[in-house]
Amino acid sequence: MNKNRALHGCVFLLLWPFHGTTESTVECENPDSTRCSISLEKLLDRAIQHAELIYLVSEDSLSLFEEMFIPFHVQTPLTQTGNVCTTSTLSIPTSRSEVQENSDKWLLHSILFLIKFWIDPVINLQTSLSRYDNAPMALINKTKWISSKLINLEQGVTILIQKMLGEGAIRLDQSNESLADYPVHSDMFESVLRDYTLLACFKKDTHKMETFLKLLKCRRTGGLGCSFL
Amino acid sequence: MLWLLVLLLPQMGCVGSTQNFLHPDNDHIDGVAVMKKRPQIYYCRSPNMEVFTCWWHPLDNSSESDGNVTYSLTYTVEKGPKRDCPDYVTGGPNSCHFDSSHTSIWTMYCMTVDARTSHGVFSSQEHCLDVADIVETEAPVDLTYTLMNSSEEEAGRTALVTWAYPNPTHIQYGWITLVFELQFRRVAEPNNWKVKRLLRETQLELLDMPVGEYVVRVRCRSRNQGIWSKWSASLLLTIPAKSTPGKPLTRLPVTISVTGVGVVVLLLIIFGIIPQGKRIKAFLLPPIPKPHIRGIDPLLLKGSLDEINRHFISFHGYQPPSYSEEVWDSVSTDGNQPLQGLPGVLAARTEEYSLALPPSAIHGHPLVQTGPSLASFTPVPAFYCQAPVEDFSTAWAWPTTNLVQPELLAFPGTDYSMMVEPNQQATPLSSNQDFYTCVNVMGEGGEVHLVPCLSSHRKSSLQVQPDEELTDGGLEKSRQLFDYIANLTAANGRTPEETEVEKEGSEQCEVAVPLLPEITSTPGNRV
Repeated sequence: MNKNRALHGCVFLLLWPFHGTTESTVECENPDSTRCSISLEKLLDRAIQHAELIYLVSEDSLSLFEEMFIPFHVQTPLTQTGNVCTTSTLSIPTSRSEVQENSDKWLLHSILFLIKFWIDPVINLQTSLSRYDNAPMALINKTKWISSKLINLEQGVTILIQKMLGEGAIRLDQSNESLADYPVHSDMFESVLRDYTLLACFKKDTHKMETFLKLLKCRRTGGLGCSFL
Repeated sequence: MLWLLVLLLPQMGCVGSTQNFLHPDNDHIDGVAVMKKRPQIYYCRSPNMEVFTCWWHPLDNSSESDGNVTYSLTYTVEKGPKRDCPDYVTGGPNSCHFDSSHTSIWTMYCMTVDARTSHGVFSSQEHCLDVADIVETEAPVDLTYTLMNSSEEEAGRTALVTWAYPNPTHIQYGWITLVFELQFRRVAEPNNWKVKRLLRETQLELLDMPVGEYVVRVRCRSRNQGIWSKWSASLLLTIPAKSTPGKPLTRLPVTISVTGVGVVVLLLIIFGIIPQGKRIKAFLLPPIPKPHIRGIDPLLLKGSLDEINRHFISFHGYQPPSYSEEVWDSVSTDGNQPLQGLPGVLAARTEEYSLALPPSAIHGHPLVQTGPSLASFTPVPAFYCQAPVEDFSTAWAWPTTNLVQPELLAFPGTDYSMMVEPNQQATPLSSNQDFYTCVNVMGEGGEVHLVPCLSSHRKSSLQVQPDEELTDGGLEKSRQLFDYIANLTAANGRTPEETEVEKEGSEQCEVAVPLLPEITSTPGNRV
């Protein structure tokens, strides 16, 4: 008997690697089983990748916009005024200590809120840019790309929340402030200023999203680069 | 034990089936999974993580189907509802294409293909995938190379191989970060590929490649996940042979220039520095001056009168010896001031003179005397004598040369004159005379008047002194003494000057005192 059991164990151990390989190929026999879902670490990685890219592209867009439309002496005063952005009035952790204190739930909700907030303004920005006479095509394409990726990221963060916090955590009151704060101006100069402000604020917020996501990942897995967060 | 094997068998079967998914062209027939009776999703790919397509194998036509087979693909997104394939056309026959709105990288896709035939529905095995894992980008393009300039140390050449991102629109904005892998081999060795892995940039330097011909190819992959792309088009790399004459040629000018520089330096040294050797030596090692007293020329020691005069002219009362009559001081027998010289001062002065005047000068030259009437004296220091000199008052000297004929000896400045007969007593007397100077007068500031010492003069002067000051008795006595001394010197036969000098010197010094009272017994204080 003992001999048989030992043999069972040996065979099982021998065949165990194959068990592992099948999991990676995602053989989903039972749709409800947990093997059929992507792991949380992978999801976080992808979300971070999205956020990084969105930030980079928003930075590019802002500099393009500056070159085209904003005279030099106006640039720094606008970007330096920290409280121009609407989102700064909302209850989102802004300082490093605040961020570190808050729980994952808070972080995730903040990220989701930010994303939802910015989806519509970016679409509006696209329409506004298309109305300019000499807006460069690169800028317009970038803003289109941003809006598509924002929607993508929103999906991802929603799923993250579902996986990390449970099913019922998604119900979040969406504020409808976004549209109201960015009225459409018919005046060219005013709309240019508005768009510039919008891009600048968007860049700041995407950087926030990226940082929050990285912090979430660091909390779960640790690793290099986490000491700075 | 058997149940264990049974449990693990399906999973092993899965391993086999996944092999099929990775290599769609490989119709690997596994004994466990019978793929012909059912459709099979065998290949799914996403080029850019935003869309993807899946292909399946249709049912075998050899079966009893009458060609009326419809396929439908259904998929579920994790826990969502079953959905139908959005696009059967774009990917070709037996494919399903998912566009960006239907693609989510956050969820797992599980799909099944159903084949509806007249005989029934045949469902394929469920196939689940993660879109990010099936990303296979296109191969890199524009593979080229350039040969770098060769250096001396390398045996071969360095080649810089460059390529480009595939189809840029899919990978814009760095959405997919690529890593590359490069392989190269010699043309003659088909299976010996050398691999360079995990390249991040679209270029690579192949260092020091030996001469020959090589084949190079590149492929890429999304950095975090995904599948390697297909290989790019192969590139033929040719390393030419190096031109060997370059090496000695580059060395030759170097050696020539070095030798030229050396020759120039040598010539400079020979013609420039060596002639100036002494100057350079003097500059580097300055000569140490010999000790000498500033202002006194060594020639003085040889008795050059001009030098002596020049140096002594500053002394008060010093009269340079000359042959003119004006030299003479007022040598009056009366009215001379008493000497008040201090022996110490005298000694100090004489010291100087002793340096300047060698003893020969003292002996020497006495007096000048070639002309009949000339008389001069030598400023001979009285260093032999430190006797009181108060008594000397005269400043003239006697001629010392031997006179062969009687001469009239005249003393300028005075009213004396006398006939000097040859071999007279005056001669030895005059020879005695003096080579010394004695202090005549002491001035207020310590100046001394130097006069020749007059011990002999005194004696001779006794003869010529005016009579008014001498008593008869005194004059007689001095005359006697004078004769005695003259006889003594004649008897000895020595050089009159020397003996007289010595005697005079000694007498002057030692005997002067006894002499003096006799002399000074005469009224008057001179002698």
